[in-house]
Amino acid sequence: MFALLLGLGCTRSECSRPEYDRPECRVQAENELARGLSAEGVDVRFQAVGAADAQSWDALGRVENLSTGELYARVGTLGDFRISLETDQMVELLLVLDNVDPRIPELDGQVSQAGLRRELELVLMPGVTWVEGTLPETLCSGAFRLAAVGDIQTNPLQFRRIVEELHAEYDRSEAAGAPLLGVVLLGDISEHSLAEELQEVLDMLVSSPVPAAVLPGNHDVYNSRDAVFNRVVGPGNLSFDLCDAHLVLLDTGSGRLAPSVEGRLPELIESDQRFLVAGVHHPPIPGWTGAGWGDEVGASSLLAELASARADLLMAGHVHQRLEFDDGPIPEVIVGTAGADQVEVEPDYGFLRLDFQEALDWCFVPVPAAGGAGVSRPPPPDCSDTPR
Amino acid sequence: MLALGLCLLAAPLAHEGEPGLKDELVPPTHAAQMRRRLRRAGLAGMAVGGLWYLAIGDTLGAGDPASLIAGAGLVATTGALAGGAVAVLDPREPPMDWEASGPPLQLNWGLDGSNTYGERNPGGLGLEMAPRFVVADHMTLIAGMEFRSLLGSELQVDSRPQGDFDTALERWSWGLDVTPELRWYHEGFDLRLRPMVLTRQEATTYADGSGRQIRRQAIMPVTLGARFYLSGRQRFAVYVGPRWDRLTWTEGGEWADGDLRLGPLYGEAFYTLNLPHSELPGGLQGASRLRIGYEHSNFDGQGFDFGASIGFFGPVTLRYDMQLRRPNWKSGVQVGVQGTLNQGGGVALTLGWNAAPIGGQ
Repeated sequence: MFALLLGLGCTRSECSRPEYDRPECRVQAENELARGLSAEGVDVRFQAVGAADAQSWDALGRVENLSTGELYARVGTLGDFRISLETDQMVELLLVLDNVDPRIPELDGQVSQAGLRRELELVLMPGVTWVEGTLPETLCSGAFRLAAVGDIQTNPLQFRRIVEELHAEYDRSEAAGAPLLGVVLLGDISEHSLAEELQEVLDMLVSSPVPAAVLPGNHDVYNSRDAVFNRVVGPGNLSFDLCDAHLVLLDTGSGRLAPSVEGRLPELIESDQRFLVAGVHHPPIPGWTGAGWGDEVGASSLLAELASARADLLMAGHVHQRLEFDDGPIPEVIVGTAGADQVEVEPDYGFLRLDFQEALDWCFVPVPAAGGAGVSRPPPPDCSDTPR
Repeated sequence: MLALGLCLLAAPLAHEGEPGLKDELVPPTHAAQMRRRLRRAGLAGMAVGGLWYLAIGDTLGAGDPASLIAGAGLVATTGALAGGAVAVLDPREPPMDWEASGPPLQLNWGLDGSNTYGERNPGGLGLEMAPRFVVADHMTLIAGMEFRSLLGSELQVDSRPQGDFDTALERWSWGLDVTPELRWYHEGFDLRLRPMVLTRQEATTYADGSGRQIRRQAIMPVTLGARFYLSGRQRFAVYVGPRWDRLTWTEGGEWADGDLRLGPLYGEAFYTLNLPHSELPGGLQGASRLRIGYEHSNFDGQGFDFGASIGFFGPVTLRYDMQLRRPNWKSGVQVGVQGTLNQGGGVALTLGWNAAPIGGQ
């Protein structure tokens, strides 16, 4: 309104004057960054799994031309992914894929694999080539698990302990017959919206046994000049299937949804999967956490759509505690416990375990600070198979 | 802690003053001293709220009262400074025969707009009724109520570059506020009880053509307030109270049940300066009111964010009203403009009819 009154420019298209502390401009950025053109003229685009048309694309990852000449694509989702590469001539291309589940079978042209990263040497013929990763059916044939946590901020070393604990969680999950398929980071992975901070967390995730899906928090996106989260990490709004679960992770870093995301809520939430789990940074029920969202209208829309779709769980961060609420429209768990200051003598660090079995269940895996005995402040309760 | 904080803010003011409803206009004898106290209390509120906020970080539940205290402190400090500046021009600050107060009947036109292709923010229109009744000695009742509606649908585009910037969201909304208020006038201050029920209903059409209606209610049964008379022309008021929320929505044409649950704190603080006018052309008499306020609520949209501090603070408002009367008339026309400082900004124009309380002298 003030911009209008002050006459700051005539009518223009949305975000033609980008302000990346506005969520709509980040939507534009995450979609722009989900495609790229290589020096050889190859058009690389992230696509929805099952997409057959390479003319469009989806913000499900981030594409970048590296100074070393390779093309880098960081998958933003967990599990399956799909990328289109289109060229009008025969081209040799070096493609580096990152954040890929190590259990996905070898891809066409793959020359190396180290942890979550793979390198592909591709010979592309004119037309469209698809690079597609699919989890083995055995991983999705029964129960599976996810980990979720938010709020690292000024304590990445504690988060490193959590990443290390993911290896133990991976083994425990395997032993329980419910493989761990990924970790969801619920925002505030940085303190000052700096690329170096975000990159430090991504560097830690290199040693994770499973890929990560990351959404931004208020500390990650308040730089109006630079879409730093989208540029370093990738898209902040993600909607995808993982086995028989549908995950909807939304960018609420500005205390509100982008209007276009709010407008697409039914589309993003709709799914015929057995489970529906949503993740945001800001908890959307104001009374549980104080004022919470700057825009309570959008928060109400989100709650109504999730409740109508019978969502199984809403995960959030922002509050540096573990909290659980079952008296709202949908069950909600807050786990801002990845390392950010808890203003407590003995903090309660750890991550949430989501157990997808016949029904969705969840518990908390404590990861005490170095040298600390750790405390337990349920709910959610500690996972009983996790020795403190 | 909140009560303690607000008491600390207001305690220095709760002393001398003049009694009675009609005597409300008589100034305290030490206006400058009162403003100094308020300024100090405001600075203390900002410091306490700010430190409290910094100490608890993003733990929003605990930060809620901290933000309210800091916001009230900001208004107290700014108001006291502005009040002092105005008093320099007229150190006696004599009381006025009548003031530009809240009118019994008022139209409220919220200007809005968009300079984005394909988007529309039509602004809203509200009809506010707040007749005042003298119900007993030193006691008035304001039967406050407002109906408001958007003047058309709000449109938002889908700005993804792979699309055509088509409409992603269309929304129309209306609202009803029921805000009766009881005021007891005491020596130098008055106490207020204002139970409130705010209702908003939004009809949304999504990008896929599906639609839903959502009804939000904020219920605040015990919002307590106090207003302090700093001088014959200047006032400082604070309100605070718990809030309960109820959210319901349509599913297949039926309204889903919505439970009542505790919401965030509700609060307001505002500093009011009344300004007299010399005689206007045509023999008209005029009186103005300048008001700076803070509303601790994000119920109606975006609050005031800065940096990574998002979702803590409500909007800051600056309002100017001018009432015009014929000589010896007991009522007059009142026009006003209000600017809102929040993430989107906002301007509203008001046109009202003001009159003395019913049953008063």
